Amino acid sequence: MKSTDVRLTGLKALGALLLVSAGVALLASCTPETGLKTTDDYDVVVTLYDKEADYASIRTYLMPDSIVHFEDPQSPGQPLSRDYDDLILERVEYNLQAVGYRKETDPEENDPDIIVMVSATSSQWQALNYSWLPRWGWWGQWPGASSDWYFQSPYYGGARVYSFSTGTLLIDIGDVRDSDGDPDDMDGIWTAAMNGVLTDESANPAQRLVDFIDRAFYQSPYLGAED
Amino acid sequence: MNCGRTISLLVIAMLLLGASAAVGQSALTSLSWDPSFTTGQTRDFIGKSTWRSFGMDVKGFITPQFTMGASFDWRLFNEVTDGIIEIEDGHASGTQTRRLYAIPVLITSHYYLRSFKGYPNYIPYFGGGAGAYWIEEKLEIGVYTMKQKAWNFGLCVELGTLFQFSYGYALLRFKYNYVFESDDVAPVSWWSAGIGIVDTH
Repeated sequence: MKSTDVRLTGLKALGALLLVSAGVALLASCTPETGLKTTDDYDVVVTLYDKEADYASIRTYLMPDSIVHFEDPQSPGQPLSRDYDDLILERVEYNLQAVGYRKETDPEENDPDIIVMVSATSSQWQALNYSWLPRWGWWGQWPGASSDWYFQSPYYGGARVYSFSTGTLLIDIGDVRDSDGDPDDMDGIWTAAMNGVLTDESANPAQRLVDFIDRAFYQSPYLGAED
Repeated sequence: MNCGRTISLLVIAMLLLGASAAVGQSALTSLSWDPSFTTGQTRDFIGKSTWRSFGMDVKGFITPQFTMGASFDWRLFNEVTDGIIEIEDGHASGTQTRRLYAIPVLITSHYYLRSFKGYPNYIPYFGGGAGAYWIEEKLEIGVYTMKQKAWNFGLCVELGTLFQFSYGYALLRFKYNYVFESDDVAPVSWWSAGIGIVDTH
């Protein structure tokens, strides 16, 4: 081998090393940051529904006048504020009526079609399934947060497991038309989860709550009574 | 695929290419930057083009105008968006970061319309490749992450030309890649317009 060939080979080896270094530096620097930077960026509204449910024939609803706070007995969190409970319940009712559902004013005489329950998590929950609706009883037997309350095991094609932060607002609809008054036969047909909204420290929490609740109904166009 | 594994693969590929360039005869080695644009179903997931796209090729001459070789690309599509997305049994809305890593490792063949003998000013070519594509789709929304990943089979076609400059050749090329779907990942496709440098030895 000539000396010039040796020099050329050495230069190429040096060039290859420089290319490797440059390539490594380039790729290491070119993975972009996530788009989730501020509190607002973490605002997520998830709505899950039963595709077999008949939403159009629903006419009346019943909704308790309080919000249940659920806490994982294994890892209790800080108590949630109830400053916005009235606002939340009013906004949920506003949206229910906007889609054509009517409040049942005499549940002693007339069974409602659905029961709407509003709750919040006061500790972290790891998973959720649309059919998680807890069997928490018929109207008048409202148990509040139960120590043996649990989420059903979720399955979302393997990797799709939901984790809810403390302060997540949940709205659930249970179809009671075929339950004959038996709470165990109540079918969970809709869940809206607004992640962490009750623990946000934003400038205008009341407006954010309203926006979240409105968004949950907006992204659920199947809700609504037929004329 | 995380960044560390990506870089490891890149380093291995580059070392292999460097080694082949050092010992090989009558070979072409190229590095390119290939801004890319999603197409078809992939565009529904990420509509934004990317500049984060690099390619490396090594080719050996079978005949004076026909080469066989291998290519390794690294590409990351990234988009931050919002709006409503469909998930299993429902919908979700909020700020989303969508990412698609596409890393082809292909066997390639190319035909050059002019011979390299005589060091011509330009050499148009066409060709293609087939092989394995690492596809990783990731969607982050709030605190939730959904991820799909798989090695899938795919094909690419390429059209380009080499331009002579002082040291060797510069490269201008257009490529279209199509990755077939599998149980885990939907079909992925994109095209790219790239520039690069080519070492002939």
